[in-house]
Amino acid sequence: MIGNLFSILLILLLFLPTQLVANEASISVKSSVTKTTLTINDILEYKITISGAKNPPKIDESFLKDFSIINRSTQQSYQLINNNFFSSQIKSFRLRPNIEGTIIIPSSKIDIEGTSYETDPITITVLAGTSSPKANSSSIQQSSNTANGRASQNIPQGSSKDLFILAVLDKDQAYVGEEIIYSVRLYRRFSTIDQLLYQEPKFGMLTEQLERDQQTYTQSYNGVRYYVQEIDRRSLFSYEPGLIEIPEASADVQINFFYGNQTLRSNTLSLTITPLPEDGKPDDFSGLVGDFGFDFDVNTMGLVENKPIAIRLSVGGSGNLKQLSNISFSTDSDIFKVYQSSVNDLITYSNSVKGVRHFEYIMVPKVDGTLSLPRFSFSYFDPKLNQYKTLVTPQSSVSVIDSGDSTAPISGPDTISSVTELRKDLRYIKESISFDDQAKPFYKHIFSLALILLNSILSLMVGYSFFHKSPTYELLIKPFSQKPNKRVINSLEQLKKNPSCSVNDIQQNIFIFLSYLLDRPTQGLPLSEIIEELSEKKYDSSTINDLESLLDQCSFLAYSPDSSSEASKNDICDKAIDIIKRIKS
Amino acid sequence: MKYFVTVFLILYMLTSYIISDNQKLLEQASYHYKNSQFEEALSLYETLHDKFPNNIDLIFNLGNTHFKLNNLGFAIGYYLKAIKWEPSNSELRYNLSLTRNLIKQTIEPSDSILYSLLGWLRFLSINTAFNIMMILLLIGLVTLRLIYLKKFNRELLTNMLIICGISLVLSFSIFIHRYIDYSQEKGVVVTKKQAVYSGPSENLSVLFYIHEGYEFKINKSAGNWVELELSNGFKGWAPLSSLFLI
Repeated sequence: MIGNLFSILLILLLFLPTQLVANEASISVKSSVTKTTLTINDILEYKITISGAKNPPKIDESFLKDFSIINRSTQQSYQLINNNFFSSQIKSFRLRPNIEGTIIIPSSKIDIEGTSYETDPITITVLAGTSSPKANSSSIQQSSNTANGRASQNIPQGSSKDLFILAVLDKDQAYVGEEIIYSVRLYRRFSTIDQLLYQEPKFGMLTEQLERDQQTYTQSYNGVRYYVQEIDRRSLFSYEPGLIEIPEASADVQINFFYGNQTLRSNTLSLTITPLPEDGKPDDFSGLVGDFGFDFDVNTMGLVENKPIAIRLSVGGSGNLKQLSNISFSTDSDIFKVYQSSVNDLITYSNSVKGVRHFEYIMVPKVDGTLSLPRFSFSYFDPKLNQYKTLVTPQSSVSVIDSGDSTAPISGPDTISSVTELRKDLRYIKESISFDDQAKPFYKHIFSLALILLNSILSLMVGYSFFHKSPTYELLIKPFSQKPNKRVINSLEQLKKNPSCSVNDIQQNIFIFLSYLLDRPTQGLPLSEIIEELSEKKYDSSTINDLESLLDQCSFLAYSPDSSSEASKNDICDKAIDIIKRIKS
Repeated sequence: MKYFVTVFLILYMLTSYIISDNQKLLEQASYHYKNSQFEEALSLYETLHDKFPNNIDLIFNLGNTHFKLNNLGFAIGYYLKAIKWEPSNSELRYNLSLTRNLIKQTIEPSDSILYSLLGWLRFLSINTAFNIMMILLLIGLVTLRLIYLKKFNRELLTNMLIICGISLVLSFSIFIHRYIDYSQEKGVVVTKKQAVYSGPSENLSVLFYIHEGYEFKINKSAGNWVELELSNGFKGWAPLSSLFLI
């Protein structure tokens, strides 16, 4: 019995302190910092450790108003004590001080399960910053990502040695606004894969997609030969200083039909973004970081007072070019008015973001004479040299001529020998205009039309002169000429009126007609042959007989002394006309 | 007869009235121009231009007024329109070159020998080229006729005919050259800056930008859009509203 009681007491004794400890330790809140003295560029880690809470605590972060919160993280563990779950959490804040001097991190108010807890205040000393931040030098040394993506880190956890993806950065420390190249490569021991679906991580900063290397090459990695293929390449620009974690990228890969899909996850990357130094920061600095050049072009010929001219400025180089929205200039507004006109980009995204940003400004000279052009300038931070640079257009003078709004000085007689043009202006308007003078094309001009007419007439005349005897002309004119019977009849009618004509002329005309009928020359043919052919063509026999007798009569009259008799000729002509008409009818 | 006289008198009075009205407008426009009231002058010149669209002097005055109003695109457009008819007009050429100096587009003359030899051709209008060709043809035809009629020394006439023939071929080539230039539709950009698209829609991609005073050739048109071609060979589509067609 005593033994049993002792056992119970012993258990109670053992249990009671544990229960008390458990109740005491159920909720406790502590805060700590990694360093109490630091420079303005340094980062400190502020931790709040909450033990024994069942539910996640609520922390009001307003007490960290003197700091920039670069990163937050939470570590959590659970304990089962007396069938109760208790959580132990460490809330970490990576902080960069905003002000120099002694800063007190005040008590943080933490709401846990309806009860408010407070941490102890912590005093830290912030010293003045340096131009080259020292923050996270340790993390730089520890980093396994080296420049140009020469990855020397291990294969990501959970990935197969035969197939994995690796994310690399070209640098692990960069200034605010500096370009960082991020690349993801697929390492595989298989020569081919069927499908790859890549899912980029959430960067939380500005990214610009670059052209990835399309080639697949082989590379030895940890002593094993792999096929390496770049699957993502981009430029990152961060405008918030601090430590940045780039989460893992993932890719769904199907090697071939027999294998299922595999989801590959890359390694996470950390990157330290350091703020730009305040020392020597130019007033016109707009956040441009990289390596840049400056060029300008302006046509200084023929500048006229109050007439705008364009100046084209080109900022080229590699970096966050789009950060530069305008270019500052210095000028006296009474001499030159300057207005921004347009901005055009010519940017390439191959290995890095490179290109030219063209700015156009309009300048209006307000006075005439020899003037100094406004000087344009811009500043950028060169991360290689760790210093700010300012580029300015060179000093140049231009001659601006008077627009004519003011009266030009009148040259005296003694200056006649050295006449110089003071300004250029338009030739004056026409005050006297003849409204009838209208511009017309040549085909509406009377002179041109007259020339066309004259040339047409002359062409016809010349053409006829030269070609009317040629066989070609005959051939051409034949379809348009009169029919032989009508022509012969007309000719015979003319012969009737002509007193000097002979019987031979009449005979000739009759033979022309007969040639037309028989389709061959009939001049030398015997009369009997002509008659025979006409009969074969089945012309009326009485008409043929009349024709025969007429030709006989002609032959007779040709040798008769009475051949020139007017009456006989007219008679023959009439007969011939009659016969021709009868044949053609 | 009496009726005809009455009609003639009425017509004469009406014509005189219209002419005097136009003269009055012209005088007012000149007055405004002299007093640097270019907006008013422009309005009056445009009224007159609507009535006499092909009057070279009016086009010249419109060009000047637009220049004074800093509408350089319109100024160049009007000068080019006038030069189309009177390419040898020195005042027009001077004003055009002065205006071209103030814009961004640089038209560099070719330094080729052929251009130097044939550069003077641009001073010939289509009408002059045609009339020269017609006169040479007339001389040639008269010479042929004389050869046929055997009126003068045949050798002299033959030589003259050969010279006429060669000149006629040359003048015909020049006329064709001028006719192609005359028939080519051209224009000038009148807005300060205009995007040129890959097709007749603002939804298509922008190929390049053109600025006020840029001169171009027109290849084709579709609705309110034209396909233009710059002297450097760049082609694209732009809306008619930003262009002045010559």
